[in-house]
Amino acid sequence: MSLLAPSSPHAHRPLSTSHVMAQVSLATLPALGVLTWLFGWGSLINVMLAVTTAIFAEALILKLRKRPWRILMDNSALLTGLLLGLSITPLAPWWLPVLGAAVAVVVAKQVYGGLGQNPFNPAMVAYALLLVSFPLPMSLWPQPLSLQAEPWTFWEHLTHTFTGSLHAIDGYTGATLLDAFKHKGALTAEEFWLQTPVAQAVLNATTGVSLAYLLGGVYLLWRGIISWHTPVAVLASLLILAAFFYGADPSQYASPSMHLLVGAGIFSAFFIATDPVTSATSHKGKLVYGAGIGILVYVIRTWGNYPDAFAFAVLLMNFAVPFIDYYTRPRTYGHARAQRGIK
Amino acid sequence: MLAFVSEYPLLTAVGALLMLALVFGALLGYAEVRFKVEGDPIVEQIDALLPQTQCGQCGFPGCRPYAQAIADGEAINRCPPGGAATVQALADLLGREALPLEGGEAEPVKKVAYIREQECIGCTKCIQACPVDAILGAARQMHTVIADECTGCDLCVAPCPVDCIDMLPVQPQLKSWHWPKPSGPNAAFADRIIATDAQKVA
Amino acid sequence: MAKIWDFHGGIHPAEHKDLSLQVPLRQAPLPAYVVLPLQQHIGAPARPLVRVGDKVRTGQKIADRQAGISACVHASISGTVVAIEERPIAHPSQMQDMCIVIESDGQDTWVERAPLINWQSANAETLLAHIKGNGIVGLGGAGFPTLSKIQSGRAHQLDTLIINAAECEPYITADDTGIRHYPQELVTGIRILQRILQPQQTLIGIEDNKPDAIERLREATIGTNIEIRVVPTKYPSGGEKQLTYLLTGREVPSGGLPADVGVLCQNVGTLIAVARALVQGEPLVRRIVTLTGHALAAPANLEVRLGTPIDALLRVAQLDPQKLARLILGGPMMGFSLPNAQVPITKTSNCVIAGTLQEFPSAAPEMPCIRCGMCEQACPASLLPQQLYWFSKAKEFDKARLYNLFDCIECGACAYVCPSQIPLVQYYRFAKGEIRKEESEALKAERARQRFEFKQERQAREQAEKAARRQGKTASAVQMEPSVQKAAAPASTETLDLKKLKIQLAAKSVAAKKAQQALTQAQEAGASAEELAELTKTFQNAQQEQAQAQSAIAQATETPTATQSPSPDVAELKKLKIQLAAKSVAAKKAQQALTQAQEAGASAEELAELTKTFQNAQQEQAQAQSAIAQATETPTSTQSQSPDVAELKKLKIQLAAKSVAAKKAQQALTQAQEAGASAEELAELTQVLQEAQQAQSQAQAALEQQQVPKTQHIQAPPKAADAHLKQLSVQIAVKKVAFRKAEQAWQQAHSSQQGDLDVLEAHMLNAQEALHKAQAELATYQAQQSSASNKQVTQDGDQHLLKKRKIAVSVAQAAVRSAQKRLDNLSEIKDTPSEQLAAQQARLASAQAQLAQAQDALAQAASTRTQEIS
Repeated sequence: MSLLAPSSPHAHRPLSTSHVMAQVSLATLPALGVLTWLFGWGSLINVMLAVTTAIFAEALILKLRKRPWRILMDNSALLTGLLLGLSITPLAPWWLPVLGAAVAVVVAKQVYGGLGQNPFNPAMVAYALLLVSFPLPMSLWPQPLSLQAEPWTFWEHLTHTFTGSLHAIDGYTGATLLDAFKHKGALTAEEFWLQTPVAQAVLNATTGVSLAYLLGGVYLLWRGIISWHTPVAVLASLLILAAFFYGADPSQYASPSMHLLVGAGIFSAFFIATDPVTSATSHKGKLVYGAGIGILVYVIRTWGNYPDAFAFAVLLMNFAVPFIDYYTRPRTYGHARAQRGIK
Repeated sequence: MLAFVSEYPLLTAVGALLMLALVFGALLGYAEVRFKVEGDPIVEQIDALLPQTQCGQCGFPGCRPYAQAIADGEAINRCPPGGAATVQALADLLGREALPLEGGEAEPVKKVAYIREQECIGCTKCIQACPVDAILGAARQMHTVIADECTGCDLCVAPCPVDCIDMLPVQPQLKSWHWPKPSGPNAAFADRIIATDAQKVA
Repeated sequence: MAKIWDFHGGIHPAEHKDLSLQVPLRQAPLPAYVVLPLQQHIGAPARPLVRVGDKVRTGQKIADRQAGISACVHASISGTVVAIEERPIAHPSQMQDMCIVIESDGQDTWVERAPLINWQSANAETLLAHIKGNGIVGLGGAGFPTLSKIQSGRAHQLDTLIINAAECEPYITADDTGIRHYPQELVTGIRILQRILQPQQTLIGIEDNKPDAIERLREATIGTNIEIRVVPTKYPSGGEKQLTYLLTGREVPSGGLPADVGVLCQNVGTLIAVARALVQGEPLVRRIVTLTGHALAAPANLEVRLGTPIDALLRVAQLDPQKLARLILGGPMMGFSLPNAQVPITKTSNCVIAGTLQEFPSAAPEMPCIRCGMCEQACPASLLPQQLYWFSKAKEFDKARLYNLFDCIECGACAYVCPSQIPLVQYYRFAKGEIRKEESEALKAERARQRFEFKQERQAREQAEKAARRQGKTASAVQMEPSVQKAAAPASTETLDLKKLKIQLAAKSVAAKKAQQALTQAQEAGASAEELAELTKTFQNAQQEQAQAQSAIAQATETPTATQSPSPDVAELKKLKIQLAAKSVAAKKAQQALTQAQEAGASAEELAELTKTFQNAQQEQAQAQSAIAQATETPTSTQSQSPDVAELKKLKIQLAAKSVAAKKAQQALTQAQEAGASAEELAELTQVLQEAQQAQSQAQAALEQQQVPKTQHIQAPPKAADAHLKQLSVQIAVKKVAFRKAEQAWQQAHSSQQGDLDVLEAHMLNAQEALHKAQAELATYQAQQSSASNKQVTQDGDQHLLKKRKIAVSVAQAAVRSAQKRLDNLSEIKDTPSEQLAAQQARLASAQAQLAQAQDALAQAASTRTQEIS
């Protein structure tokens, strides 16, 4: 046994990339549980399909690119599939998560050179692609189980996913709350809540999911996997804007709590925006990046075409990451001022 | 004035263009004088990238003439001592395509001339051939190479009548040693371990 | 409590410090031998003061510092110097360096110590002189000579002296132990530095994980103006720049020194060494080394003599070789791993870690960077490690510099936290090394450029001077007449006579020139053959008169030189030389006449006559030359030189004369060819040429024969072999020249399709064969030589043999090359007979076979050698 080892340091913190990815995956499990509990088996089936496809696609590309197998062990494909499966509607037909996961891994990640090289969040690229290409199946969300007379069993749901035969049973589907609120027309907020009796039940269900995500996020913060800067910046900017407009006209604008708890707010703030590869690097940069996402989300939600806009907000801010990184370079020890940008 | 303009639109247009030409011409002329660049800096820049071995392997008598020739359109891949790195640097500087090195290995081995002194007959031929005066000696006296000044250009080997000059690869020195580049994430496992370990694994 | 500033980043690795703190400090047993590298510090290596076989005593200076940044080395044990050679040293490159090896006599007898008893009242210069004489360098790790550091500090406005006791790296407890065992010496050392530097404040920076040491320091510094500043434990608080910021809030500017912000840092161990050097007169011969790691049964801190091999220390600490997985010199964060324990402890070795596989698992495979930014949070210099990594990996060194690569202190915090297990520090070290290499290469290229341009300039100048001299000569010849007329008062009658003669010569020259001009004009004007003949005669007469005048001058010159010269021989020689010059001129003129006649289309008879004249002139010239040669013999023999040398010289001169003759003959031949002379004439001329060449080679042979006894006589007997080798080389060179000439002649003949091709070719092939023979002779001789020496000394002989074989290979290669060239030449020429081609191919094949043989022999020699070595 040779005593030689490469360059110092010889000690290393017991933390690896695959460990980081596994921890993030672990942190999504409460939300997956809550989703299954409140909305049926759909999300679980989505996740299984997306994860399987993502890992298979990654393996295929690694083989084609003649890369070592151990790269597959970094768990990044697993996480990508997981996040995509969670963000797609539980009523999605099987090809939505499969197509999405394949696009995420092949087009959004491996084509750029694999892990660490992709400028855009793979799961969000896939989500945006699916949303633009297949708007109808993507926006069809089920009612919470509490409103369903006869919830599907796992097998029934599986059949639906693969054949679509049980589709369009009345009362099962509906637009999301944000969608409904957006298209409330001339109604004031108060009238909206009064005229849509199911809204309160949906609100309760989505709040439950969001809190489960929050639980996972707090776990990641506690384990030091993510820093607080990005999620806090996202949520704070979103809340501040919402509070400002809600304060100006409560009848027209959604309340801050609705912005926070309905839709993908907390999920994106803790799981999507914190993706290390595509987010800003420095603490200051993370604050700017997160704030940008929050602002974009509010703008698109309120005045844009889409009810929820995390995928677009994150992708737009991914564009800005190199720029943010250039202009948030820290001042190096011993230098009078920081050098900003490439000269 | 206005009447003239409406009367003769063609003349007016021609006149306006003429005025514009005069104004911009004057501006350009001023800029030419004001921001004049001394000399032909591109040749200097090219010369700075060449390895200055003065070996003539490019077909020009020295690095500077080759730099001038490159500036005049000569191919950039004719410098074997500079290797692929120099070709790349020249390509970057001149915005040309980085061609593979003309007939030679891509990675040049640094060499230094060494005179087997017991065989030297002191003919001074190598001294005359050395482009950088790196050989020391006098007629019928043994010659020797100042290794620090030798550019490894090979030019002294051919004139030697007794073939007592060797081109030896430069040995690594403790002072000039530095850490090698790690093999990177895409290397297979066997490449990542040190040679001594690899033997043991095998 | 004074304010402690907090620096950015930093990490908290597991400390493992208590491992080596279980037992108190001990003295390591005296080693059987020590290996002391001449360079244990930053800067220039020391120069040895001892020779192999010298007896040295402990503390004796055995290597002196060089000027500039350097430090001396002292014997750390008493005994005998057994070697001064390259030995493996503790360096990540695993290379060797010059070391002095001392074998212990077991006595440890010290030299007379020279303490500075009254250091309290000594001035700074005296104190510094003692620090300089005792070889003290920074013991913290870098090994910067303490003298240079203090001096650079004194050049600045210093207000703060910082004592670095942070010792932030895991495992290491050497400074901790030093403070606990030698607090008084530490304080003395601090006071000595205070005396030199006169700082306004003195701060000891120590991490809060050393409560015992802090307690000892508090006790020892009561009543002094030394302040203790306890800093929170965080790696790398012991970095000089980080500690400076922690204690003073000042940042050391990039590329600068702490002295730039009025701070000087010194390590605890260094100050203890300073105190020992001044108070006890003990030079730096020992230091505290931490021996730790879980592969040791008895980890401890030992006071170790410098140069002690590490394996001796590991035995003391009871190493379990089964458990050992990694041997680290220095700390786990910045130290480097050693291939084995056969390297010595130096002034900068503070810790040896014998780690188990559990402590230091093999490096995990590098994964792609995920831009997580953990490295950036950990970097104590606020760099962007991941950007530096990308740039280093892509070799974009300009950008890496722009991102302040050189502000990286290589602390390893980034690589410690990297989840992708990227060896970041190695990437930075690689990039730094490449940048430094590029810089030094650019410097060298710049120097080469300057030297090249200088040489060109010089050559141009020399040429211009030569041209000017030539012009000046003709100009002075023209001006001769008036200037001489003006010269009213001659110095002596002799010079007057000489002058007259010279004037005559000038007049005659002018006449000759005029005659020549007339001749040329007549030729151009198309004058009749008779007229031409007449003019030619006039011209020849003029030339003769000119030659007479020249010889008259020569005679006149003889007289004054004879009276003035110290020996008649020299005068005689001069006379002869002048005669030779005159004869040369005559020969040249004859040649010119011949050429002109040829050009003018003179009749064959005339031409033959002229040729005869020319040949006569040449003969006379050659005679004159040989006369000179004979004359040269005499003076040199009268002078103290040995007759051999004189003989040699004579032969050489003869050779030169013969070469000139041969060259002339060749020229004549070429001219004749160009002029389209008849075949008979050509044959005649060719014969002349061949005779001349033969004469030349005879002269060469004679010279060589003469050289054999000479070299044997002059050189010492063991060197006779070398002389023979040289002689063979010379022979080869001569043969080569002969061959080349023959080849040229053949090629010329071939291209002009004239002359006796077969004869010439045979000639050329003979020459080639002779060359090959000579080369073969050299090779066999070398082989003999090597086999002879082989028997004498195996090791050296092998090396010799190897060299000889290599030479044989290169000779064979040359043969192949020339054969190839010949073949190429032949095949280029269209109608070469196929037999000729085939013959040449066969020759090439045999040369190649010889080469292969030689290469085989070389390979054999090489393999025997490697076998012996291994």
